[in-house]
Amino acid sequence: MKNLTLFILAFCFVGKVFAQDDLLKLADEENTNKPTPVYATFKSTRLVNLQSNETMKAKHLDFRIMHRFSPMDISPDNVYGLYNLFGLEGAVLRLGFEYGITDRWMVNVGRSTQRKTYDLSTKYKIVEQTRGKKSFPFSINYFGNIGINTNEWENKNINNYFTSRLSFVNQFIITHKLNNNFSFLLAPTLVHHNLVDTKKEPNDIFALGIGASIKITKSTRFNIEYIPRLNGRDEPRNPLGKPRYHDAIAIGFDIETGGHVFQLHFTNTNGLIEQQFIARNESPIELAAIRFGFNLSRTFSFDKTK
Amino acid sequence: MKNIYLYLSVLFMLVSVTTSAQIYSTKDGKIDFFSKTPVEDIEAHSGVVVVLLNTKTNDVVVQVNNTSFQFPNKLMQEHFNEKYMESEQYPTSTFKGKIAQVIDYSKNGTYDVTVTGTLTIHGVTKERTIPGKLIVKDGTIQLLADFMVKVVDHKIQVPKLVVAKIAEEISVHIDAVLKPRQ
Repeated sequence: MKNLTLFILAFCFVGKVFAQDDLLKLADEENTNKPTPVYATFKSTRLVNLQSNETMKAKHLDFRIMHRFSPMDISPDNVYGLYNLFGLEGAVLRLGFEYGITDRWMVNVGRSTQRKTYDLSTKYKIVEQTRGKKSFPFSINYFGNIGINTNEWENKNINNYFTSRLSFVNQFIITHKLNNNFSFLLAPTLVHHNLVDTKKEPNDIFALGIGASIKITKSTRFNIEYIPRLNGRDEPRNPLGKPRYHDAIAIGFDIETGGHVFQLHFTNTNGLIEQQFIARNESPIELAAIRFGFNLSRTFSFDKTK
Repeated sequence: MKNIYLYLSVLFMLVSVTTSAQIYSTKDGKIDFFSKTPVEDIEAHSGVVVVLLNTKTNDVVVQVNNTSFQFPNKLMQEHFNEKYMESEQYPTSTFKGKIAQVIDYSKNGTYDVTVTGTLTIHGVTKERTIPGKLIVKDGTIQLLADFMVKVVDHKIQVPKLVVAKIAEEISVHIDAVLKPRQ
């Protein structure tokens, strides 16, 4: 009988003790039950060379200018550094537009001066990292790209096919924003060239992009990336008998000023699309090959809805 | 003797049923805010605001996830979270207070009310008294309020470069229809 009384009393109190702080507790519960997507894993749609998990949001257009200058020649045995103003005399350039069709899906068109290559690409957020109770720890994006090399044919006397101009990239971008200050990225990548220079050179190159980003201030970040290739490291060879292509590395800074993002970086590649900087980067990882480069992006919103 | 326990338990049950009905709530209240300057008008909207009202004690809680605010310009949305609200550190904005007036929640009617309590934004808590409207209609309670939030009051830093674009005082509008909580 005693137990019954206690039970009933307890039952009664359950309903009675809703004070202000209990309301707050309820509100907290409701809010933590909602998984909220993380934002700003990276500052821009590119880390340095690699794609990040960020996409242009719906009805937002981004105009992007990318520059990679000539090697800076800062190694001790080079005397041309200052003479060539640390490589600023020569540059590879890519102009591109990125447009968000939905908040998760963007398309991209551009042209880079290297091999006069046009590129069409798409990036889709398959999964978004969320915080909260039923959270998911990673963002997963797919990135695909078609490159069209429009250089004149080297030999016009043979049958040349349009398909020989084409190259493709398939890439998954897996990212995790650890906290407010640190994010990292893994990008398993397949680059396919329809036409390669020699028989020994593989058409398919597999690579694993690795990158990380550290927030320095509210408007600046420091980024680092390395893209080791998993096959085709020894072929083709250059005239000296050494491997012709090399892995790409880069460090960079993002500086954001309102609608602009400036990305300033040092890298060993002058490729501006994945086909070039992942599969066909001719500069080794050494001081003499380091060059200065920048990406400048300006975003415009065409979203008039409230 | 046994009957007394039975009566008591029925009574307690009734009490607990009526007390749980004293909580009114919604998960999809609305908050709009506006920043007006000669240079730029900015507005944002959230439709997933949690609002709770205890009709017995007149306690009110309004809480919103900062990342739920939608801006027409997504870059602004990112800046809002990343630079101004620092939403990773301070994910929610919360008001908790008490309605000063006596209200008959069982009758339809419109009441002018004042709510006194604390407003926490960007981790900084301020005492506030906010005037609003409370509309009781067929078992639902609608809460409406307009008030201003001073950016400096909550230690939200606006860089000098964009100081002309962001108002010193942000006007906030709340509209939520509450139903008895199940």
